[in-house]
Amino acid sequence: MVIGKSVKRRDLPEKLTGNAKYTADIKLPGMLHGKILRSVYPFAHINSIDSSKTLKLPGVASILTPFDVPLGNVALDMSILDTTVRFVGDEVAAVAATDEDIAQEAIELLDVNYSPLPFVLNAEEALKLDAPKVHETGNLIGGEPIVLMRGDVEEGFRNCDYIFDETFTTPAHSGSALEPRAVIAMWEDDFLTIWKCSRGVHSDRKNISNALSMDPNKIRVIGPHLGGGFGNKDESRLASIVAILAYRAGRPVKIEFSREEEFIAGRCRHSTSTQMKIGVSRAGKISAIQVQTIMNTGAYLASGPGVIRRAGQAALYLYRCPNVRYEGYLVYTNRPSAGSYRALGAPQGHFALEVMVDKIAHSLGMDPLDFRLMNHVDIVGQPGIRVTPPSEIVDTQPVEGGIPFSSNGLRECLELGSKAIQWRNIKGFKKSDSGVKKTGIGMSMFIYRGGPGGEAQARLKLNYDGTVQLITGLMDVGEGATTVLCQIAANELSIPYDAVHATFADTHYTPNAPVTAGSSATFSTGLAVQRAAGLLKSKIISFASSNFGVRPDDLRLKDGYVYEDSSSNANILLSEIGHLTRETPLQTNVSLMPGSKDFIINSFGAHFVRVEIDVVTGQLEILQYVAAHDSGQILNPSLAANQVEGGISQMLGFTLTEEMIIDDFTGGIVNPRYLEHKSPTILDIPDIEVIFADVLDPEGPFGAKALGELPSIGVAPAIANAIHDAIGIWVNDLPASPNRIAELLDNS
Amino acid sequence: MICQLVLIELQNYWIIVNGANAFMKPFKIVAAKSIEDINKCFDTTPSSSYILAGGIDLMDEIKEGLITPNFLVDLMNLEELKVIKEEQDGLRVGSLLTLDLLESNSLISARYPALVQSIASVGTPQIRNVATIGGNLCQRPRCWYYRNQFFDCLKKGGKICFAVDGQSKYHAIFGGHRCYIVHPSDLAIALISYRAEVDIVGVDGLRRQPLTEMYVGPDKDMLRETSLQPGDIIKTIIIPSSVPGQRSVFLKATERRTQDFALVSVALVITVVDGFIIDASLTLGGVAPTPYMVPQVEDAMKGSAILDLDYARLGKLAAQGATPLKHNGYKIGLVSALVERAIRSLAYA
Repeated sequence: MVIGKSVKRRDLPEKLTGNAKYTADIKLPGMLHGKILRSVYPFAHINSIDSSKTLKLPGVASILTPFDVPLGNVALDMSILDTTVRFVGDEVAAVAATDEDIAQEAIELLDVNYSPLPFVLNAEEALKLDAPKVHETGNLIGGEPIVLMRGDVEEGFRNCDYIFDETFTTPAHSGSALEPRAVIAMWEDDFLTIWKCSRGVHSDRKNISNALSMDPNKIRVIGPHLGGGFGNKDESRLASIVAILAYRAGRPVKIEFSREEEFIAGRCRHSTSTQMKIGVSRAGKISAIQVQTIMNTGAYLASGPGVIRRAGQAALYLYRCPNVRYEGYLVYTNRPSAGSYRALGAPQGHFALEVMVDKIAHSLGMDPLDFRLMNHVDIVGQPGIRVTPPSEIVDTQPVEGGIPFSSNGLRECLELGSKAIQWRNIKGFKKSDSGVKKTGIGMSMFIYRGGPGGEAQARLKLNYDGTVQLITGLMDVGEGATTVLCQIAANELSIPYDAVHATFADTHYTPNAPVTAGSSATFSTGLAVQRAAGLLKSKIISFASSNFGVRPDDLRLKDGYVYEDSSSNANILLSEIGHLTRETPLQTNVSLMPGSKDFIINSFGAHFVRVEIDVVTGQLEILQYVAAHDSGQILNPSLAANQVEGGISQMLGFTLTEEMIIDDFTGGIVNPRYLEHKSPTILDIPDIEVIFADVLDPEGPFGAKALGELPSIGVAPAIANAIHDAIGIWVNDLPASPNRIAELLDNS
Repeated sequence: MICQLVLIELQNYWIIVNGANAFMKPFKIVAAKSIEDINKCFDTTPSSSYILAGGIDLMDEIKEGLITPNFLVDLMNLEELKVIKEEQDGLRVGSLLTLDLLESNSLISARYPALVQSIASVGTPQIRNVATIGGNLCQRPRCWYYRNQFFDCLKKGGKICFAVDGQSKYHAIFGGHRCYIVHPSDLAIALISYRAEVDIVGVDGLRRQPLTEMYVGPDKDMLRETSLQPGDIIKTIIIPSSVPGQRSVFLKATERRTQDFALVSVALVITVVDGFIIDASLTLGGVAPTPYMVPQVEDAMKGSAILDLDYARLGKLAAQGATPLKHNGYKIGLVSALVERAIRSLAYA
């Protein structure tokens, strides 16, 4: 069994030695370098661009402006280049030249005539009738909020003893991946090859072919190693620009973002304002939850609709409640565009809900752990009646009740985590801390999609030397999908892990695959790999049977051999079969739609944290962090623990210090750099105890469920609740930076 | 060849900072072989010459497009500026000594605890391995409007200070004079509390002045923060000998544990004889365009029995006269807290 073992990551040696080649490392013969001119206005119309000086500059090979760009959209609301620019840093024009110096000089020589327009940065302001319209369709995307409900919240509020009503806000922050975005485009006659920072080469190809009105078969997209995606890097504007520059120049072109561009023109997390109203009985039973979230998507839609939808899922499903209503407003402004960022809206939604729940428990005199143990959704699911037809796959983000979960280890997470942090020995006991340092303990729990994503495909082939080739279009975004999928194939085939070779993320050689998103790779592609491996095993046995005259039922695969059950002498090496089938290799191709018609497939977790706060300076130290997760069977414990530690570390920034701060008068981001977009340093990250609940999901590959994004969800509310336990102050607005805590203390 | 010095021309000079490929225009590096060479070089080269020591801040400024040098005069061959020695008037510290060497130097660690603490709080070990004490004292402000090419602010010759009505979380609460930068050097705060002096050499020869007088605020010069003229360098830092009964401490409040500039820093040096404070020197960083001295607190301490002092009152006294902007009012409480803690920590030292 290779499942459940911490086999070594596939890309470990090359990454540790610095030999791994990322997109920006690739250099092609004759390659030019491009630079992008960016808007200095938050909202403006471009009247003209005079490129005469640029054209005269020796070394300039090609120029692209909104006045000579081919028609085409890179997204619903975004053309390749536009005569309207919508945020400070929006793409205006691009130049390719023989080196980066010249390209930089060349864009500085472009003379742009702008007509600045009145602009709006704040989402609430943007919703007003007289606000400047960022797009002609209006600032409220879709023209109305999304509304999701179950039962009757008014009824629920009539039948409760107490109603709690609070507003919470979270800031925009950047994923600040170590690798800035880069794209290289090369034309060979009418065939285009793109190397890019990618999260899905096949979706990139589709988007680029749409934007450039090209036959997708004439485009090849390759995704080299990715230096951090975190839900980002799925855009295709940069790729389209580079492709056109290369076409016009007749030479390959590379553009790589600077760090500042990565912050401004990358995609940040949506800032939110959430009003939450919850009705409870004296005994602590929740009877109604009503939530309204306003989300600032910035200048472009990107994946906003998915984000606003996901922000509501905690309120809809984490607590057993018959009456819920979620209303989400996704709003355009002239801020840099937000997009997908690890767990999309879930961290924002859980922050509001999980702090609110602690407030309620506190008001009712209940232990927050007991309140959650009493109210959390269990395997039965939500009360109500199923609406999804029985023949349809159940959404991983359902609204209706009446559908059970395939597995639900939430209670186990609560129990294991609280035990590890000794919750019962600490919470509620009189504290002995005196002076300026106060300690507190807090917790949160969370629910998230369990892994079913888009249609998944996997191809497996027996190589002539008896090894197996695993071929998938999936992009390993650094999380280790290559490793885990090879483990699945090796396990199913009973061959050594090292005997599986992987071909990933190249549209030329791989079947279609979805974007690596929604924590779906292990579950969805994993199922396809598992099934393809099962089929390949049958083919191998059937081949062995017919060629060596043994009944298939008597044959099995083990350690790279086909064994005959009754006799250990009749071993057939897979390499023999590989050799015999070298002209028509044994291979299988599986395509499946992951998901269940009977169950909701969700993953769960609970986080526990102890903090110490300096009540004068507001500085916070994390004393202990325990993360308990239900992600079903853990396929690779070491990689899984890394995921949890990484997600928590990343969201310590969101919780405590990170924020993309905008200058209200100019619309410019003032801190597009690591120094002031304060990501935690290694010294700020505590030891994290990771616990996995003993749960097997009947639907997942070898019992596995999603993990990737989940660790990022529970961090902010757990810490906010611990802050309250320490100093008696609720943090409704993130980040809980030292100055904010000190100010809250001053005002209390 | 310029000034008969070694000339290295770097085309497409790239550096890796924060994992990003930062873009810089080509420039020339001139390696000075003697202090006199510096003057010669500044005499003969255009005004776009800059002094290069550790390069930590200089490279940032080039990278950020704040300066576009044609020549960098590299001092790192000047071994005479890498010497530390004890003389009658105090410790003479060469300006090219790196922070990591100073941190571990026994002449400093045994006698100047506040200085060691300030050094240890700078950047990261990698930065301290390269950064020099002279460069640290001469670094440019970290104001996010100043450092951001997009904003043409007063300090860059523009017309307004964006922090006044804009984002002012990290800005000055004292002494902002149309420009609200804060002084960034941790070492300067400690050294000024020790009443350090500097020997400056330049076109006009050698001059000695108290370190505190080397710094000029925006009221005197909007474009610079020191009195150094082009071609001037700090040669030596002179730290007066520690006296019996001297106690000192440096405290720095930051938002993360490392790689962060001070929200507020405090350096306090006192001399205690028979339980009474006979001398006190208190300097604050991160609160004003220059190192901010607090004479009212020093005066209140002098002559008092250290154990009888009202530390909280002195903390509040230190923050007196602050005029915060929209987002930096929290610094007032931070000044009070840090000053109170600094005094308390020395009372029981």
